[in-house]
Amino acid sequence: MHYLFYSAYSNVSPILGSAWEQYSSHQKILYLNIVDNGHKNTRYKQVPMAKSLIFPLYCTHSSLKKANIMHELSIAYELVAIAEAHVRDAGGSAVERVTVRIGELSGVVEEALQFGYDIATAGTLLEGSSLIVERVPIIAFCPTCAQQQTLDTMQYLACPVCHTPTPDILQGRELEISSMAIQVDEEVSS
Amino acid sequence: MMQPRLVEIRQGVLSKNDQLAASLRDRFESAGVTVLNVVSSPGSGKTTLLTETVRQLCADGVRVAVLVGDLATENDAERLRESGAPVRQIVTGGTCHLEADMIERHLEGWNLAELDLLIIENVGNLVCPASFDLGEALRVVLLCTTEGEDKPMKYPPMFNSADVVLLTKIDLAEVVEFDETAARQSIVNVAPHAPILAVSAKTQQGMPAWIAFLTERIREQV
Repeated sequence: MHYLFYSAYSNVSPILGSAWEQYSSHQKILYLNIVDNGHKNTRYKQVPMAKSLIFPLYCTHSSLKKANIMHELSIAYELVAIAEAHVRDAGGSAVERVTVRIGELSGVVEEALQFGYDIATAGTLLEGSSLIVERVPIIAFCPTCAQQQTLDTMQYLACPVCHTPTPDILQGRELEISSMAIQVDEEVSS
Repeated sequence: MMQPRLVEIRQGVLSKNDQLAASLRDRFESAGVTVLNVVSSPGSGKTTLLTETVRQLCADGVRVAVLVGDLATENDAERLRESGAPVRQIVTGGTCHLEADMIERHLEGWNLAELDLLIIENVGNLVCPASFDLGEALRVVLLCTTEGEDKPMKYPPMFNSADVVLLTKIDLAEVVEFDETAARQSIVNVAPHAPILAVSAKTQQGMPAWIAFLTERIREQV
């Protein structure tokens, strides 16, 4: 998938805003305005975007007058910065895939992160790499059963067996890079 | 010849923010200042509640300062200044949440040791601020009576991250047919650890309990 993406100010997080403008049923493409207002002269660029990726716009909530960045994009930029440093340390020249672990309670939406990843990796050593997301289920300690329980929903943090509320969450808030498959030029590394 | 190689990393994606937040937390603790990170959806009464909270605490001799995040305007800061406390605006320029480095930058020139309470009013948003630790001692999440009782079930990560949940504009409960019992249940479902206080900055209902709660936390911190 290709995005036309421009950021006039490289240090400024681009802002996904204004929601999608047009939808062409023939092209199956949505146009998203990318607003870069790190500067007073706000710039708008149109970016084609697959229909399935309209989802990340949830973050613009009902008030489309206020352009909100989705936090998954911030997260994707952090992810790229960390990954690039590791690639350089390992003497790598490119990245094939990055695997992340995302807890069900982390507040990160996989589709939104995938979308942000494509934007944040553009022009970096990670460009063209795939992002593999491993979901981490919520595990809580049930004080009544006196044991760990896996919870199948984040909307009811209680023991699935005895229904005692489980404030003690042991797992499910993860948001970490676990590994990367990188390409290393053998001549350089040997 | 290119050879793929697997590199183990195991690093938190937001470790930079987390580390900065941890160092801020140390700084706040050694200065003896209690820090609140106040989060809610837009229009749920953060600024009104905080203006009233600050006014009452200042009258009690508590030294309060406020950092207020806003996407674009200075309006909230101007309202908060009416309470008499020093207020600084963090205009995020469209970013939907505050991050630890924004807090650090905006603390410059303030002597934290001369403060008892620092209130950070986050950007109105129930999604993004959940992931960003600001070094606060207490995360305060608001649920407004006009929002619907099941809102916590729609935003579990945010409500789960709360140290205390406030039911705001409780004076409107009857008019908007707000079912307080159902709201409390949905909070318990996603944040079983969090105390819940119902407040109205307008009629003062619940305000004494909220002020007492904060005063207690400030005393513990010193």
